[in-house]
Amino acid sequence: MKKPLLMCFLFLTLILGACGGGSLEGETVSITGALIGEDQNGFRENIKAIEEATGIIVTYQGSDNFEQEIQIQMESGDTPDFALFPQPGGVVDAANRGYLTPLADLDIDLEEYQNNFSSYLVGLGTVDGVIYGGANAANLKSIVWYQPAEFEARGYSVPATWDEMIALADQIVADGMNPFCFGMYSNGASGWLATDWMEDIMLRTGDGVDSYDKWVTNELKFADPIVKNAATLLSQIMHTEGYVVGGTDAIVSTYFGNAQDPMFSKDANGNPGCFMHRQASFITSFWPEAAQGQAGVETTVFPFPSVDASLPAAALGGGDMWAAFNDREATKVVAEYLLSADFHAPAAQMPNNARMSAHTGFDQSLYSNDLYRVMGETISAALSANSFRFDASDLMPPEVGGGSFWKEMMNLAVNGPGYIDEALANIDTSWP
Amino acid sequence: MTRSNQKWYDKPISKLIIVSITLTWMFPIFGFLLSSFRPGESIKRTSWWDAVYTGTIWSELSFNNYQEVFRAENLDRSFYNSLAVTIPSTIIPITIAAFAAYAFSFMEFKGKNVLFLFVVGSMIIPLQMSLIPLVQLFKDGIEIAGIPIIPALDLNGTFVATWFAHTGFGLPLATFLLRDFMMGLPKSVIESAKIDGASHFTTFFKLVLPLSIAGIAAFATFQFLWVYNDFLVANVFLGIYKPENLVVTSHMSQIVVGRFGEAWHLRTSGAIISILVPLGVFFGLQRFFIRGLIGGAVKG
Repeated sequence: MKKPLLMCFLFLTLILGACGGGSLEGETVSITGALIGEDQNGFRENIKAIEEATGIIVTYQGSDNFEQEIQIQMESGDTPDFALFPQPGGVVDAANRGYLTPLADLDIDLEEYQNNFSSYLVGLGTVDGVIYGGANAANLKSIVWYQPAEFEARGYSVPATWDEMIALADQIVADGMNPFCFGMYSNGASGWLATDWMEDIMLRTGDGVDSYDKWVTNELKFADPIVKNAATLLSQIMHTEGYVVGGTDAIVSTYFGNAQDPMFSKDANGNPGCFMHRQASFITSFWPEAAQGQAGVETTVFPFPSVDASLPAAALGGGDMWAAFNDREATKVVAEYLLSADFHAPAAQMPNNARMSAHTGFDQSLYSNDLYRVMGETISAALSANSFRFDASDLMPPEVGGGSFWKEMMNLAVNGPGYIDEALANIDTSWP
Repeated sequence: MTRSNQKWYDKPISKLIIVSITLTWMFPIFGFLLSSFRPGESIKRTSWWDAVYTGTIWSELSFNNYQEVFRAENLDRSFYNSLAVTIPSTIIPITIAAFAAYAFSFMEFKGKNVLFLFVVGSMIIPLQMSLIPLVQLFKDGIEIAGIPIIPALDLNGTFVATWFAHTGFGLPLATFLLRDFMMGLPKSVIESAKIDGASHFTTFFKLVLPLSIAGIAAFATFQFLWVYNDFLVANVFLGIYKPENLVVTSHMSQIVVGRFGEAWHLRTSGAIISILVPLGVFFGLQRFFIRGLIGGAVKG
């Protein structure tokens, strides 16, 4: 009877011995999120460095149902160590329900974090003054796609201001071509493309981010002259004769994914269907395969032009945010690594990477492609100047941001500039 | 089955109808199979029937999609996990249901019909409705007036949780099917065993169980296919944030969407690969499957 007991004791001391010594070797840290496909591969590359440095086994498993699954995991008590939420709203919701560990408990230097990632991003993951979310990557919507070779061949130059863009558009129309690709159709979500345009203009007119922030909370009404001015500028693009390929009718009926196709098909004279297309970086996935390979070379981007020159260069975009579910030692180590400037470096060097680091100290030269370098620099500059903002329609109440705002933008596209006042009044009425 | 019935389905016209229904049914699957060999770009630009019609399909076909799916990390582990979920989730409900079905068919006790009605009635409850309560039950257990009825086992994220869940969801149908099958067994055999002094245990193990193999195999096939193909229960109870816990369905769903849901070419090939196991099981057990279903539910 004594022998097994002795064996057990010996075995126990062995285990304890292996665990002691403060080493985190062999501990596992699990991360889940909505990144899948190539983004998942990139994220897995990023976490390899911390595995090699500490011996902690860090796993990342993404899912396209992440938003539903994390709800169940929180409910079930079987949570991962980290979740990478595609929207900061997920962090706020989870924190409100008491599932998250504040960054302060993870021994994060909050001041340094705020300096590195801008107070705006940090604020999005803050609940009642307690910081829960860690910013990670950002994406950029304020970009206009164009083909440098086509511009060069015709002596066009990249517009830096709205007036230059309009002058260029008029020039292109005078040359017998269409300057813009513009397609708003997106099934039940039709309209978001025009709301993105509105947001980009709003960030660059009025009081810039100040009026933008007020607009998001409806402190600034849609009927306000600043918003009306933005709608008028947008209407100028949509409704000026010859600006949009296929005419105004095509705006509402063209699927957003196919909107840029005219740029890649040349007519008998070798002219493309359009020269400029304002759309976020994901659109490359919808391009014809031949064009996809040339993203950043044949077809690349310039930042959305500034409207009011007195305002700092702004950027409209989005970003994901991670949060931790416990404060184990291994979790702390990984959390610190997630916030380091080099975190995104391995993924940035991958040819198919489409995510940009939100760390303002990130070395922009690491991106594999000029396209991402331009976007990374724009994001970083805007974050530093506190002029980076999230998509307003995502932040407004769903009745507006996913309802009347979309719908009235569709109506505006159909009905023309005379409808602006009515459209804006209708959105104001629908605000809950 | 009377003689005139047999004549009816032996007629050529009936055969023609049956064959054409089968072909219609197979048509989309054929397109699916064809698409799984075509490159992603062609799938998005031209339909497979156009490609067949114009003959371009022959130059397109390749195994690239399959190679890409097989290149996924840990896919073998997922197949292993799927079996680790499926096999116990098939055996446990059958074991319980066989006993229950025996009791419902051959034992006399008070409230038997009401109890059976209750079992059959529970088939109506949609599985989706019970997911969250079950998750909470596995986490916190049940306590009534401070007395733990079911302890807080903290099962979520383990394979045991999926076994329990699938057992629960499978039991009503298993009991129903097996009872119907056992009711169809010759009464005289059971009665003579009783007269010879056999206990219920002896009757069950020596007589009823061997005679019910066809019915059990039918349900086993059914349950195996359903559990193997299940995505929801595994995702909820297995904690799929752990790469080592992915089952085939959840792993495939992640491989085949691409970054923005554009990887259509992988969807078809991934589905064909994941379907291989259930196909094998079905063809291996189809004899039992059809015999069991006809011998049980329909006739009974």
